[in-house]
Amino acid sequence: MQFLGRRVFYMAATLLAISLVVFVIISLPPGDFVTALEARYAVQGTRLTPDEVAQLRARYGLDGNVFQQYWHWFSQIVLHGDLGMSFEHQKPVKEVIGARLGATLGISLITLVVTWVLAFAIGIYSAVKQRSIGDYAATTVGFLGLATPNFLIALIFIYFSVSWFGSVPSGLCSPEWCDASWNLGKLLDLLGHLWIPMIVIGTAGVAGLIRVIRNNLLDELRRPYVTAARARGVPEGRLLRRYPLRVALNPFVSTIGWVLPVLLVGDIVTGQILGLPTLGPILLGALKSQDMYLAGSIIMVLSLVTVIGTLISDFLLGWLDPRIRLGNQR
Amino acid sequence: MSTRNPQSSMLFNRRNQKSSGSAPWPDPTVTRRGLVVAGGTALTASAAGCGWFSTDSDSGGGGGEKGSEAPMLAERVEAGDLPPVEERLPKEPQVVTVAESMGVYGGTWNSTVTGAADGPWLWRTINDGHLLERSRDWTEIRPNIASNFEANEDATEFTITLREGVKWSDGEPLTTADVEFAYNDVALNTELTEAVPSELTAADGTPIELEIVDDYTFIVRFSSPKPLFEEDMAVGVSGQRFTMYPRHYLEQFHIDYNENAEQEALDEGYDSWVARFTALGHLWSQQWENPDLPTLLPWVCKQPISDAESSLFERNPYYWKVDEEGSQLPYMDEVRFDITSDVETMFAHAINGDYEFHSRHFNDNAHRADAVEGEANGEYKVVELESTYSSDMNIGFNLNHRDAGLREIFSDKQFRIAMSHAIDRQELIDVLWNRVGEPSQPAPRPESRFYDEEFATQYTEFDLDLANQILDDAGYELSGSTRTAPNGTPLEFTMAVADDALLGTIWIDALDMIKGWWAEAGVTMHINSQPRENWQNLINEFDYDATVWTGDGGHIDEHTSCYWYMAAGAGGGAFFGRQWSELYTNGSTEEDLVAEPPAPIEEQWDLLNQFKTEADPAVRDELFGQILDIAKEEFYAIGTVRGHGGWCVVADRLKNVGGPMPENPTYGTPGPASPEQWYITEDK
Repeated sequence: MQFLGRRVFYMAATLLAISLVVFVIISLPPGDFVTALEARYAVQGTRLTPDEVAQLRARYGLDGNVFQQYWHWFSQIVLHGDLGMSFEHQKPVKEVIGARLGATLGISLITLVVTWVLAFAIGIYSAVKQRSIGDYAATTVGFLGLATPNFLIALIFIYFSVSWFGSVPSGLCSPEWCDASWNLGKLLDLLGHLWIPMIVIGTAGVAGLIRVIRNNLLDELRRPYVTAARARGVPEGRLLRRYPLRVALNPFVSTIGWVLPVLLVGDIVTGQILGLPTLGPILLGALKSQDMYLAGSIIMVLSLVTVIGTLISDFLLGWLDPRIRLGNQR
Repeated sequence: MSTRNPQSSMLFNRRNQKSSGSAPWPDPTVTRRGLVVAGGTALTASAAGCGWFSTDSDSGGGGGEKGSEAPMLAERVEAGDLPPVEERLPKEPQVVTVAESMGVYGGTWNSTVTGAADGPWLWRTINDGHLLERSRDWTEIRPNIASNFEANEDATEFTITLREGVKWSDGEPLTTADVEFAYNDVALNTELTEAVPSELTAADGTPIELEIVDDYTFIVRFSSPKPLFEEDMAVGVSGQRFTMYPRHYLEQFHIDYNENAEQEALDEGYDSWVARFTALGHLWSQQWENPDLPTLLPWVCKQPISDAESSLFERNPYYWKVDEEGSQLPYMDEVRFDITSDVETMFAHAINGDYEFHSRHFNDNAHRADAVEGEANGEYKVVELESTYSSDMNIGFNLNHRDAGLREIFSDKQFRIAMSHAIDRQELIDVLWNRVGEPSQPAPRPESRFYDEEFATQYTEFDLDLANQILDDAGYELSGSTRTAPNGTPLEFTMAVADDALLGTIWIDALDMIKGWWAEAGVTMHINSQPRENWQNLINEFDYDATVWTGDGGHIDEHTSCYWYMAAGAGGGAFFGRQWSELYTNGSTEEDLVAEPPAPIEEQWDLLNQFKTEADPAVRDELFGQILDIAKEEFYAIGTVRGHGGWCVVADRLKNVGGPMPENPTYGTPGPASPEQWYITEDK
C-alpha cells in the first residue's frame, strides 16, 4: 500500500510539472494563434483586415499574460474537468480530443500487443538459437526496422500500395465504407487499413524489444543455476520458462511505461502521413498554429496515459519481483 | 546553387502498369467471395441481407434518370418527408447555363482538405448565397440571390430585391427579416463584431443605413459614394453579409432574443453566449462546422470538417438554382472532403484518380510532371489553371526599417535597380521553372487591362557590369567583398522567407541562386527561412530587412490586392512599407512613424481615395492607371519570374468543368465554374 501511495504521489507531481512546462513552452514562440491564422490565410490568398485580427484576439482572450492563461486553464481542468476551447476547431477541446482518443488508444494498444507477442517470441527464439540463421535474419530485420524512420516506412508502404493495389492506404476506412454502418464488411475494411499503421509504428518497438529480451535471456542462460538445473535433468522447455525467462522478463515489463509514449509519438508523424483520425496530426497542427489549450490538453492526456503506463509497469514489476517491491524497506 | 528536390514526388513516377483498372483494396466483392468460399451457402444467405454479416456497403450509389429533381429527393417527396420540388424552388429560380452538356443526377465529388484549418477550400468549392455573382470569365456581374440590384446615380443608395421564394436549407423562407437580423444584430452588435465590415461602411468608416421596404426589398444607404459595393456583393463572404444568418435559427443563441442564452452557453461548455453564437453561426467556419445551421449552399453539412476522418456535404433539397431544362441543381448528390494532412499522401490519392476534382496544396511545378504521367492510369486529366501573379516571387525591401542606415539604402531607387539587374531571370526559368515563364517586374500581367509592357519589363535584363556600375555611381564603395553605403552601413542584409508557403521551396532555391549573383555585385544576402507563423510575426512587426511573397494583383485582383503597387491593401498592406500601409489603413500608427511617407506615396493614397468613391468605371480605371504609373516610376519592389500557374486534376468521369480557368483567391477557383452543374457519368 505504501508503495502504491508513493507512486501515485510521484505521478501527480509529474503531471503538474508537465502541465506547467508544456504551457510555457507552447507560449514561448513569438506571436500567437491569431498570427498563425493570419499567416495561414495569407498563404491561401485570404488576407485578414486589422479589425478582424483585433476581433479574433479579443475573442480568444489572447491579450492577458501567459501565467494567467495557464492558471485559468489548469484550475478549470482540476475543478471542472473543463479543458477549454480549441481556437482552431471552434469547439470545446474535450469534443475534439474525445473523437480521436479512441482511435489513438486503439491503434496504440493493438500495436503494443502485437509488438509484444512478436518481440517476445522472436526474442526468445533468437536467444535460445543464438547464431542460427533465424537469429541473424531476425536481427537484421530488427536493425533495419530500428534504423528506418517511421515516416519513411509509411511512404514506402504507400508507394507499394499504389503501384501494386492501386489504392492509397490513408485513413482507417475506404470512402465507400466510412459512412456505412458497422457490419462485417466494414470491420474487414478497417482491418485492411489497420495493419499498415500497426507495422509502421510497431517495427521500431519490436526491434528494440527483441534486442532487450534476447540479450537479457542470453545473460541468464549462461548463469550457473541454469547449468545446475539442466544437470539435474529438468526438461529444456520447463527450465526456460521457470527460471531464466522470469528474470529476463523484468526489463520487458518495465518498458510498458516507455513503449506507450514511443507508440504515441510514432503516431504524430505516421498519423500525419497516413491520414489517421488520431491525436497525432491534430497535435502537430495545434502546435504549429499555437492553439494552446488544444495542444496543452493533448499533451496532458498523452502524459497521463504514459504516467499511468509507468504506474502499471511499476506494479507489475513489484508483483513479479519482490526485490523491487521491498526495495525501500531495507 | 541548391539541388534540393522539392519533396519526394519522384517516389511516385514509376507506376506498375498492370495495376490500372484494379479495384480499390480491399475490394468488397473479393472479401464477399472469400466469405462464400469459407462459409458455404448458409452464410451467403445472411451476407446478401443488410445484417451485421453483410459485406456490402450501404452508403453511396449514384446515377439515374434526369427529371426535375434528384431521385433521392423524389423518394423523400414520395414518402411525404419533403414538399414537391415546385414548392421548394423560388418563383423564378436562378437558371444556370451548363458548361458543356445537360447533366445527370447522382454521384459523389471526392475532394480533400488538410484539416479544419483548410476551410478556404470549402469557401471556394461549395459556397453560395452572395447577392450577386461573377460570370466565369469575370467580366460580368449578374443577379444571384438578389434578383434585382440597382444603384442611384452617385452610388450612395442601392435598392436590392431578394429572389422571391428562396428558402433556407430547412425550408424556411429567406426574407428581409434575415437581412435585418444580419445587419442590426450581428454586424452592428459590438460584442459579436468588433468593427462593421468594410464593405458595409462608407470611405470614412460610417456604417450603412439599412431600410427595409417589404419582405423582399431593402435599401442600403452610404454616407458617401461607394461604387465598389456592387463588386463586393458579388464575391464570397463580403457578398453574404446579409444572407448568411438564418434568423429563425440563430435568434435562440442571441442574448437580445433569448435572455437565457448566456447560461445555456455556459452549460454547454462555451465561455459566453458570444462564443456559442460564433461557433454555431458566425465567423469563417460555421457553414462547414454546424450541421444544424440552415444555409443557402448547394450542399449542406452532414459531417463537419473538424471531424476526424472526412467531412460530408449532401445536396440541399431547397437549393434555388436550376439548369436550362428546369431541373433542380446540384447534379451531384454529395461532396466528400477526406481529411489528409500530408500533401504527398494527398498527391498519391490524386494520381491514383481518387478525386473527381482537386486543385490545392500539391498543384505546383514540382508535381506537375508526375501528375501528367499518371493521367491514363488514374483516369483523370491535368487541366491548366492560369496564373494571376505578376511574378511568382516578388522581393520587397523594408522601406520602413527601424535601422536608419539600412532604411536609407533600401529607399534608394538606384540600389533597387542595381539589385534587379543582378538577377539572371532566364537562368531561374531554365533551372527552377521548368523553362516555362517570362521575366517580369511586379506589374499587371498581359491579360490584364492595366498591362504596361514597359512596367513589366523594366530593369529585367541581367547585367552584372551595369549593376556594379550603378552601385559605384551611387557611391556604394567596395571594400573587400561587400560594399559600404555612403552613410557607413555595409550592404549586408537578411531575406526572411516563409518556407512552407505553397511556393516556399522554389523561393529558397531561387534565393540561393540570386545570393550568388548579388555577391558578385558586392552585396551580401543571408537567407532566413522559417515556418510561416514565425515569418508572419516578423512581417507584422516590420522587423525584417527584406522578404519575398507571391505577386498578387497581376490579373483579376489588381486593385483588391494592390499591395505590390502602393503602401495600402488588405492584410497589413505592402511588404515594402508595412508602417505606411498601417498609417493609410488606420489613419494612425501604433508606434511612431520611422519615416515620413514620401510625396509619391501620398499621391497614390489620394488617387486611391478618389478611386474608391468614383462612380464612373472608366474614370476609375484611369485613376488606377495613374497609381500604377507612380509604382512604375518609383519601382518599390523587384519581380522575378511570371510563371504559368498551377493545375487541377479533373477525373474523366466528371463533366462540365469547362476547361482552364484562372487561379486566384479573389476569383475563388473553381467557384465561378459553378460546381453545382458539374456531373458524374461513366459514359466516355
